[in-house]
Amino acid sequence: MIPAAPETADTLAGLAPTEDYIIDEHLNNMYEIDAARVARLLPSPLSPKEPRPGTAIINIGYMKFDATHIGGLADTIELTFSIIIHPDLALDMPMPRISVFDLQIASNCPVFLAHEDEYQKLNGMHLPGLARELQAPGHLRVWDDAGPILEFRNPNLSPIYKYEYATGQYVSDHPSGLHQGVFSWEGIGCEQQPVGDCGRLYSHRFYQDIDVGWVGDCYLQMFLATPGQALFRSFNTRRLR
Amino acid sequence: MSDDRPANETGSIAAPPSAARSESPGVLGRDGALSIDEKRRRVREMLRNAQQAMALPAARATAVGLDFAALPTYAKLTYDMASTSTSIEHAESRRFATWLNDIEADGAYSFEVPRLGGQTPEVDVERADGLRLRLLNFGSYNYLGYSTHPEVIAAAKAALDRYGLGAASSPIQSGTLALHRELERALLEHYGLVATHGVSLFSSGYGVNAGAIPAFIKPGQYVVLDRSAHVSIQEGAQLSKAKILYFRHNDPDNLDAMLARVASEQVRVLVCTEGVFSADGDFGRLREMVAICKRHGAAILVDEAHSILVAGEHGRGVCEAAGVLEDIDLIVVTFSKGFGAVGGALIARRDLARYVNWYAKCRMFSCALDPAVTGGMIAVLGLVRTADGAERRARIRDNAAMFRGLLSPYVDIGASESWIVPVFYYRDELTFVLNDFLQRRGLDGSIMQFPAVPKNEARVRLFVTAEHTHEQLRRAARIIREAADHFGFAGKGPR
Repeated sequence: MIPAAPETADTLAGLAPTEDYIIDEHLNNMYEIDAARVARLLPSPLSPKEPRPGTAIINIGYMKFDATHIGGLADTIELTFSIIIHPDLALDMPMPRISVFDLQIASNCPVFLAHEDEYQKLNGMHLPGLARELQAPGHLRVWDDAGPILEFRNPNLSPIYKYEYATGQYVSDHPSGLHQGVFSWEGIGCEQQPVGDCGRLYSHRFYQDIDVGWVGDCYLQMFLATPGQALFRSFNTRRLR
Repeated sequence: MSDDRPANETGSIAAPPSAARSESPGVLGRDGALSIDEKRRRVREMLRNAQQAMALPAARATAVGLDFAALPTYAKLTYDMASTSTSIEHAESRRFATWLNDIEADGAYSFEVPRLGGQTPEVDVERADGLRLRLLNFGSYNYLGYSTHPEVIAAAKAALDRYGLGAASSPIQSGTLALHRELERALLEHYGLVATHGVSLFSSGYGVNAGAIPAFIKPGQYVVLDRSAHVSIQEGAQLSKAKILYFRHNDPDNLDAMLARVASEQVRVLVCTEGVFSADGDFGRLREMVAICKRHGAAILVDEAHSILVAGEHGRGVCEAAGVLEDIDLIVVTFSKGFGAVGGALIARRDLARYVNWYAKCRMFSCALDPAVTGGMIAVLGLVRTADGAERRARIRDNAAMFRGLLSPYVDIGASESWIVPVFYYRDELTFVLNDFLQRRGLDGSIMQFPAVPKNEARVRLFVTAEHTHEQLRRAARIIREAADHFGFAGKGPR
């Protein structure tokens, strides 16, 4: 049985779509961190989601886009750095699977960053020499000219992949104001809470004010099978203030 | 699980330019490669096909017609998603109501089902739609059967006659009854700690941790918790405003590392663990934990909620079984499990217990334990000291061993070594349909899924009691095996 086609969702939370991205590679690792270290970074009325009292979660995302996409590089890479926050459930959209406050995105493609800045109101950082090595599903190394940025490892030898159609929310503190955006994601991925070596984050300017030495255990991993593709639909943002 | 095929079996559709040459006009971009619109269409088609393939993934699921993709939307939501919202209006209550309404409309709401009698091994229930069922009761923790024991009921009635319905005041003010003192004394005698220890009674087991932890530990100090610690311990830690650290479940080495990390600060540290962990049914590794705490000068709290009266030669809990009873700084017990009642207590050094009496706010500002329950529990403590208690303890252990033996060849019961037997069904989205299935087959258990336990480690917990007969244990195991075949979680799946 095929559920209602998400492609017919021309609006989400009353917002029109801006872009459909085809993602060739997509991995997220979420890490536990002392809630006090991230709460100060969140504008009102946002607050960190705490899976356990005193513990917040940061999300580090990696995406490589289809070569025909914005910017036209063969390997357009985007990194995202965000804090998992409580959602805005008043929005007219399916229950969001994830809600984040985006602290930073980064890419090797200035055209892509300019597009994201204009349409998604996301703060961009150009990282020259941004490159990656993707091995088995869930295994990834990313670096740039300044050095290593992250290493994701998947300790689970039998990951479970499921088809998912999910929606999410993000808030961005952009120079033009505080913006709220929504997105949808459709793909076949693994979402797991693994026990074992999930890799590490390296000290790098991408992480800004967060000292990665204080980042705790991996809370959740999400990744596509390799090779695999996902559709990511973004929508216009709404200025909160 | 074997019924989940990796997506790469379906292949990637990003065709190379050479593969696109035979495409019709409009499909190709200017450079002869697939246009972005055509790629989007193909990715979507690939995802649809893969989803269809996953819907009927394996013979065992196909045989029973289980279609994971056809599970209703409500099955894919989890409790945490509707927990809060940043919206000005209380949008979460509307979302939550919509969620539950959808489940009820499907006839699959199997929670909060009223029982029509006491917590006996088989119970009659009536669901919201009027459906009446007789269920094997593996969902309550009346471990030793004292909740419905005639002598306990008689003692409760006698207390009710003498003291009335409620204590009608805070225990610090005017709510302490002679009966409460009697219960305190009986508890200390049960533990053999009359000379050194005191008792702080609470009208809720949850309240013991929520009150005693903030009374013991203060801002700037540390609470170090097992990751699987009960939510009341987590909330007590949060209320203390101390710094909170978590160590890996039942992992003494990780605890050691955590304590070493904060040692240089030279502040008070409280380590919290449990006798029997309610999600996994495993015993706390108390001997190692106590040794580590001693080495680092940390205090230790052990929550014996699921082990008081049941574990240990005399029913003094896992602390007794591990030989560390007198090394524990704060022993937390609840009365809703082995006692079959309600409430809880802290057992600690006498001056500390007295301090908690005054500084545990949820105790000071709550009514004292009600008389009937207090009277009944005094009777329970009388019974557990006799042969009756020893027989019941032996019976629940035998029953639990037999039940684990019946289940473990067919399903994954994880690390269970106690009377809490979790059966892993892994996939969170099965929760509602599985619980409904089990009830309709005649079995009541206790469901746990993310975020209470890790993702894809959903489980139904079955609480074995001393009262279950062997026939009831076998019948329950048969229903579980039937469910495992139907929903595809038979065997040892990935964790």
